[in-house]
Amino acid sequence: MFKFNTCKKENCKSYVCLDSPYCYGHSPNKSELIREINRKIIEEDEIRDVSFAHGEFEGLDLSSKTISSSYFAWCTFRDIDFTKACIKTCFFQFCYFYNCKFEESDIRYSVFSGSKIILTTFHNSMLIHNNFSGIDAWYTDFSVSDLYYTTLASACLRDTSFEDCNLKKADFRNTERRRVNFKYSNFEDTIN
Amino acid sequence: MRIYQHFSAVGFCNTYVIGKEDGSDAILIDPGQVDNDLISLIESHHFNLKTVLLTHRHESHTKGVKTLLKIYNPDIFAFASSVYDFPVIALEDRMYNKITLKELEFKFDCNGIEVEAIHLPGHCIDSIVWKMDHAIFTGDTLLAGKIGTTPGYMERSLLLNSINQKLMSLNDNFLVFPGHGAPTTILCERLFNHDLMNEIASPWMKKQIRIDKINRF
Repeated sequence: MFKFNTCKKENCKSYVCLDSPYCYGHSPNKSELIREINRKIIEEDEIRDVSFAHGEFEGLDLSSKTISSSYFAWCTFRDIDFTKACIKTCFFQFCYFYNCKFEESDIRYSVFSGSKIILTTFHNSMLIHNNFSGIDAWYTDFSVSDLYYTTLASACLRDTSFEDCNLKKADFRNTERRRVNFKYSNFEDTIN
Repeated sequence: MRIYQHFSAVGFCNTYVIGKEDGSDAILIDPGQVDNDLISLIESHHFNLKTVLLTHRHESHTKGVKTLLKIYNPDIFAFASSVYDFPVIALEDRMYNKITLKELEFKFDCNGIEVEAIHLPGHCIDSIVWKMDHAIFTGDTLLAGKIGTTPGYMERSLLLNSINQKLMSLNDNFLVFPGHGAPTTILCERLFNHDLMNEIASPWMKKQIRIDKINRF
């Protein structure tokens, strides 16, 4: 798991970025931190125990990477390719995902709660035991995925597809759904 | 600190293995079922299983203890010893002042990791939340998007009060690892957990329930 060190700045409870003593917001050298994290996630096949909240990532190819026990809360991801990525016990809460690809990925025990997910695809993925509660999903495709035991409680889903998914034990309580497609999925097995 | 999650198909319970690093002494929380995957998880990281922590007495969280005892020789910590048919280090007498019934802060060192036990009755009278660094292991008290089931309104009110007083006062960034389902954080639960938002305890019930004065037995 990433280190739970909090920012050195007085009264700031955010986790530090990488090995810096400060969080991203209070870091005196943000561009250096961005360079370092980009180098790390591009060069290394296995990204483990990384803490980088509030970062901004754009146009990266992270396909087939293994990301585990890492913390990327409040980050922005634009045009990122996570195809065939393996993501385990990662924290992406309150992130912004725009035009990202998670096709054929294996995502487990991870938190996407409160994130805004737009034009993103999770097509044909293993999405078991994840927390998508409170997400705001627009034009997002979860089709042909296994969402066993995943919670989407309190989510706002618009123009989103769950076609041919396994929704056993998936939690859809208190969701707001407009133009959401559950064709060929076992919606009757969800908690709602 | 490394946290590994294992899902047992029997009882749908999450078991957690926690160690400082590969090869170190390890803590195991809620052995619902001990199967090959769990043993592989412990052995592949060369963990030396020293401690088992139980969040509550329900079988789906404790069934694997007897199997573990045949393989390893861990100390088992739980709130009350009387409900188990295996040796347990009970914390009930250490967590409460016997005369005033006031709850005491209870911390101990588990293989170099400071563990704090927080008594959170409601789902079960012996429910304990284990706190380690910035992570809490909530068992069936607080889960992603909901609170644990309770046998009645009184217990539900007690659980809601306990969660609000003891867990929601923690830092927003605390990671929550529940006994069932996906992990979450304190802030996510504060914002999206409808059970916590719709706290329905009536003023009369709130008046009746004074957590610190409840006779636990």
